Amino acid sequence: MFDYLIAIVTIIGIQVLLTLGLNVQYGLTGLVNFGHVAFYALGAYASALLTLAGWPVLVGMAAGVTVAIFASLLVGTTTLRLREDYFAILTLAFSELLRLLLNNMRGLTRGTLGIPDIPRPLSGWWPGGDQILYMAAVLVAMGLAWALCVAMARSPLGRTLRAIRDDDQAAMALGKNVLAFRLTAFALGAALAAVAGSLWAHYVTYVVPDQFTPEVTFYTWMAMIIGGPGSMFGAVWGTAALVTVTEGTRFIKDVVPMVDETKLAALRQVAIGLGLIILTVYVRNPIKRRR
Amino acid sequence: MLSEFVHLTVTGVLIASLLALGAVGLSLTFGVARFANVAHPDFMMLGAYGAFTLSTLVGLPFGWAAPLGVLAAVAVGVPLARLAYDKLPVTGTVQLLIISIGVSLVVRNLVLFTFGSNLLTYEVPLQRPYIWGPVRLTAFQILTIVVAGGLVFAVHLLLTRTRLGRILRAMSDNPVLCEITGADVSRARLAMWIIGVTLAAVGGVLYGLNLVIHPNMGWDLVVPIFSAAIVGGIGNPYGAMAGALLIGLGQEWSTLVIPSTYKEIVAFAAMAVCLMFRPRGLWGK
Repeated sequence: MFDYLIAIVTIIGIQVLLTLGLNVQYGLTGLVNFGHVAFYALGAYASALLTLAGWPVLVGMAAGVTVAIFASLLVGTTTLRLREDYFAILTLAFSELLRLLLNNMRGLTRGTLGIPDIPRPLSGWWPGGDQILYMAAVLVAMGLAWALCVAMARSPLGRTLRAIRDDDQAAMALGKNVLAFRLTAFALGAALAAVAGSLWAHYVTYVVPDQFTPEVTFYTWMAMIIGGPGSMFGAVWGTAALVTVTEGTRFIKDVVPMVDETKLAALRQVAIGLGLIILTVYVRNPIKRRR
Repeated sequence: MLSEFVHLTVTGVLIASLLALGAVGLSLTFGVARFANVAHPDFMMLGAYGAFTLSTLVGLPFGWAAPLGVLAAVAVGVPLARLAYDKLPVTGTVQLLIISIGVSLVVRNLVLFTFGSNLLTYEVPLQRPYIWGPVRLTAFQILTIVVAGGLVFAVHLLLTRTRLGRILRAMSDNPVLCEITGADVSRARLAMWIIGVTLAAVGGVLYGLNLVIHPNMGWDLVVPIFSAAIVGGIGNPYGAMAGALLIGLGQEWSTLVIPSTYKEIVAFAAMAVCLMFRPRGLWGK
């Protein structure tokens, strides 16, 4: 039970990083990123491949962040000028494209076989306490990211991003380079997602393209909406609440007969879908738009 | 080489017919309801499973099961779309977009829950292809192309020759002005969903006739269908037909130069390039 608790807290920590990234993009800046999982996957794969090639974990993580930032700038410069719904569809398509590449570039990623035996840092320092140490590392990363996001939201940069979210025409009229600010926010969110991906890869020590389906993106959206878009503290408690509930439902199959793992997974997705709809409709959304 | 090219062209036209049935409805709903309905391709999946239920599980002959399956998909899909997109107190493209993601998740996983994730096929007799020189077509493939072409032509007639068509086109041009002139906007919206879901469901049944069906079949078509609609100029049903042909043929022809597992990249690339240089699409207003 204690081990299970540690696992859940670790997963929450990693997921909070993802949610914070999306919150910087949508909550703060109003970018409808439906391809968040792509940057998570880039972080995970880059970190996994580099550490398996003998580099230290921190180098792998830094490489993952770099790759994700480059990818976000590439996607962003071509698509951030577009209307928000086109941007949403293109980022979604980008994440599906990346999964297609991960599945098929067998020379690099081993395709559907996945990459096993990714080293876990901090192992063996404290006999029997590997899980606790890793959880602590994840929580430190989460705390740093949270502090960074809060500081950024309060800084002039954050104020500009909120202005762009609320009225990009007005921000432009004030002489702000809207595209450059949107790119910054997009890249920051992508970097946070990549850190999350790296931490995930070294936590589960195994990555496979099936872990990076669009469901991850929408799960993150739901976590952000629960906590309230734009609120960094909301990103933390929204994620914690969502993960606790969805992880808790894993025990349903022990209680209710006739429900196997596949059906339960389907039901969980139904719940996420319904949750997205209900939350979008009935939760007060701080993001007011003129259109 | 020539026969391979002809074969790819035939396959491309076949895929284009299926894509067009999804893309025309998507483009119509985007133009009129003004949001990108990510759940639209899932209506195809509903049609495919409707026909499967009636033919394989209930045991109706396929000639009956196919149209009744489409009807069943409309009976489920239209009220669902009305409820999720028209009745909820929501405005704004982003909110509707997020809701459509939710609808897609719910529909797909309810089907997955009910039918399982297995690949399914219809119990129809195997077809011997007709052969004209290098062209080989089975009766089902001919049926697919003819039905898709016919339905798309019917939508064209409906949009240009009927009062409802005029109202729909007016709504996509200027919804407020259209309502001021006394058109029944709510009924036109209902008609729009019926048209869109019917086209998609027919596409889904034809998809199942030519390929295999599974709960994620609609989701897997999201990128090519959106690509067809966007390249054709979203909101413009005729553009969607042309876009579908472009994507269908492009995907198949691309296998001459790149491995076939990468052919889906064509749809993404076409959409990205189009949005970069001509965001309103090739035939957009």
